[in-house]
Parts: sequence; structure tokens; C-alpha cells
Amino acid sequence: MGGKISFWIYEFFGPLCHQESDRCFFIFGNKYAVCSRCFSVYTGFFAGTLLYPMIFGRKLLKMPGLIFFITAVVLLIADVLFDYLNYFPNTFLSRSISGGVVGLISAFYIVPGLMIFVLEMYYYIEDFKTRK
Amino acid sequence: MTNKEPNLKLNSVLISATLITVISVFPVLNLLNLFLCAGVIIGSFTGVSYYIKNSRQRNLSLEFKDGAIIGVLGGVLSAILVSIITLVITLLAKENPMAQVKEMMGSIFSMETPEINNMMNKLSDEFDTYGFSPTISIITLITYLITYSLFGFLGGIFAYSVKIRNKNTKFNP
Repeated sequence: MGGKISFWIYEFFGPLCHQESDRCFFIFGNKYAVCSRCFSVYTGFFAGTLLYPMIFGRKLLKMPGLIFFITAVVLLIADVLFDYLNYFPNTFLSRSISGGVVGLISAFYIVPGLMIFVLEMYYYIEDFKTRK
Repeated sequence: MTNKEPNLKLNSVLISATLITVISVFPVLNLLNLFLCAGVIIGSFTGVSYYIKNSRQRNLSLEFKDGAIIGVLGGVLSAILVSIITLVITLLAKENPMAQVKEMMGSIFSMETPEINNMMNKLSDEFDTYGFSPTISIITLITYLITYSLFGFLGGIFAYSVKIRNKNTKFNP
């Protein structure tokens, strides 16, 4: 049963990540369903979601300048391109850091949007209830 | 919500879905999706940006939920389109891809268990019988529906956050 579940988990993440064995973290001899870079993006995003209220409080649409996001994405693309062109091979560390930074930074742009989205939906439902 | 022109939303969804489908289907371009469905995020971002731009020109009110809905619907529509196109390509190719899957699974699992072997043999039989695997097609559709709508949603929210922030629009519930 466990084998079947893991098979479908790998299949599920297949379209999201290349899942190459030499670029993945392992746990107890089992490969993660995503590569180290993707795993770092998810982890970074989770950390960013936790950090956001500590830095900006609950202020709506408070976010850093876009330059931070663009810089993080450019660094990640550079890490990929330099490796692809055999100019500067990337490592587990460089992949994890570049992915983690993108995940962390992107949380600061998506979390405020999500907060407003949830608020809008709340008011929309309340309005719908009162009309009823 | 009530004063929005439905065609504008529909156009935005269609732009998102078309872009996501093109990125997902064409070789090389589809590599973008291997990085957290970046193609899906770009597609929904573009569709929502188009919507925001046109809404401003027509002086319509902007709400985050519109961006989220456009992103999700673009993702759902493109997920269906990509699944159909993938199925057609599989049928036309007339090849059993399970050999490749077995090879990939061999690199993932250090010891191949009998249950995985049995399952892959069953899937392989489906390919030999029908020319495609109904099980894999359904699972692929479900996977695409979940991932594309999720990342489409994130792309829509991201577009709204960035575009509205740039114009210093005040949120006023």
C-alpha cells in the first residue's frame, strides 16, 4: 500500500519538478518528491508566511519593493543558466539558497494579497447573508 | 462584482488559459513548468494584468477576488485543454511510455516492490489494450486541475498585489 501511495505522490509532483535523483534530498533512503531547489522554495515560502506578520503586522498591502523579488528571481535564473552553460556549476547549497530566497521573498507579495482576498470573501458572504 | 462586464472577465480567462496551454504543450517552453508551474503563474499573471488594465480604463472597481477567480478559471480551463492535448499526442504516438516510467521509478525506489511492479504492469496492459491508460489520464487530469488552479490562483493574487500596489490603490472593504 505504501508503495502505491508513494508512486502516485511522485506522479503528482512530476509535472511540477524534474525529480532528478542527484538533485534531490533524501530522507531515510527515500527521495523527496521534488528537487532541492523546489523544496527550498516551499520551505522559504512557509518561513516567509510566518515572518510576514512579524515584520509588517496586519497592515494591508504592505510589501517590500519589487526590486527584491526581481533580484531573487535573477539570481535563481543565473544559477540555472551558469550551470546549463557549464560556466559555473551549481551545487546543492546554491540551488537551495537561490530557491529558498525566491520562496521567502515571494511570500511577502502573496500573503498580503491573500489576506485581502479572504477579507473580501468574508464581506461578500456577510453581504450575501444580509440580503437573504 | 455586479458592474463588471462579463466579456472582460471571459477574455482575461481565455488569455490566461491560452497562454498556459501554449507554455505547457510546446517543447522547451514547457520546461518552465518544471519550476513550480512558472508557466501557469506567468499565464494567469498576464490574464489578470489585462483585466486590471482594462478595468482601469473603464473605471470599474477592482477586487482581489476577481483576480483570484480569473487565475483559477484560467488554470482549470488550461488543465482540461492540456490533458486533452496530452491524450491525443499519446494516442497518435502509439507508444507504450511505461518502459520510461519503470526506468524512472527504478531510480526512485532502491528496491522495487512487487505491488509497484504489478501496478505498472496493469498500466502497461491498459496502454497495449486501448492505446492509452485511462487510469493515468484521469490521474493526470486531477493533478493538472489541482496544480494549475492553485498556481493560477497564486499568479492572479500576485498580479493584483503588484499592480494595485503600484497605483497605491487603497483597500476599502
